[in-house]
Amino acid sequence: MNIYKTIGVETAGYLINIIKWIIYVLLITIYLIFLPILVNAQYSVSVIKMNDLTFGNMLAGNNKTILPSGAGAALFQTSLVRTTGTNQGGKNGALDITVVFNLPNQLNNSGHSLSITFGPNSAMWANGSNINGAKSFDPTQQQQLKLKKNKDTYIWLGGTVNSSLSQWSGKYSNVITITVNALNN
Amino acid sequence: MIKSIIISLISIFFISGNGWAQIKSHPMASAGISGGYYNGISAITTPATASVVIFKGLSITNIKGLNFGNFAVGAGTVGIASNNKKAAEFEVTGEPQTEVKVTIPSTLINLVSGNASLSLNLYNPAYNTLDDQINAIGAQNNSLFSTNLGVNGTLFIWIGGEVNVLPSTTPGTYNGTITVSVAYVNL
Repeated sequence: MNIYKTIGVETAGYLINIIKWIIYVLLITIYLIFLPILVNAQYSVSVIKMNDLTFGNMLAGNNKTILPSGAGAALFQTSLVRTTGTNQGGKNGALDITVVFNLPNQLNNSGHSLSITFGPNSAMWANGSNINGAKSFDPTQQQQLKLKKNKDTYIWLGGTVNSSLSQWSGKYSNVITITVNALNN
Repeated sequence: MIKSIIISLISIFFISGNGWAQIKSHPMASAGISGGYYNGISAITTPATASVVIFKGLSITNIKGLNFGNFAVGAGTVGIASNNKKAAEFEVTGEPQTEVKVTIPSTLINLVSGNASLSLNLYNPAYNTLDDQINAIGAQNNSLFSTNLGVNGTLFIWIGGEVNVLPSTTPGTYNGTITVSVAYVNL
């Protein structure tokens, strides 16, 4: 009541309106600042080995090729994993990634070795686990793919082993690594 | 009043612009993801194993033939058991302790002497990883069996059989061929 007495009813009403607008503005500003945090999910890239590259048994002196689409091919699953926030399902966004294999040139067995090679079509990738329609690529070269948020990318890897007639018998093995890089584009 | 609204709107744009800039500078946002952040982990590496198992080549050698010896025309059925010393013997070598399949494609062998012939029916083979016929195991089938090679990668196979010598059988020396095949089961 004192304020009305001091500055008059009309002026006081004007000030109250200004205060109301400032409060509105502040509320809207706070909402806009925190909106992205509230509705946006955060993601990280994951890559999981589903299958090893398994040539099985073979006779010394023979070569054996596993096609990326064949039994025994290595299989990797690459995903965008939601770590926080709300999933914005139904969006068709994608993240550019590169895939780099570190491939051995030989498999080892207690001091013995045999060669393993990879050709220009030894690898394939697809969005989804269906290899029909998958695209071939050379695993010795870096490959750029689009990783979709709502569909995992699958990568298959084959190869060829070459043994000599005098090849020492037994199990030969070595490690393959796949590195997936998210591009900072 | 109008002045306050304009100032307020400028404030809204200025403050919330930081949020937009944050999305735009983000890889996920620039790649077209709506409402998503990429959390900045740029490289993920996973190992896998490449492997192959090499087997030695298989070989099979005929050590001795199935020898019935001599007998008279009309002697009837004459048999030599697979654990008899006169049975045919084969030696298989390959990857130690690895399963193989032994196949005898034909168990009815046609023995020939000139224009005359005599049928030989093979018995179930006997086998052992050692060259020890007395303690050999009898196969359950005369045309196919599977077993593991021994620790030295060997398998010995003995095969007997019988012929029926009729009074009408033409005298002479009769010969034929017994074929034995061997293959790895898991190859």
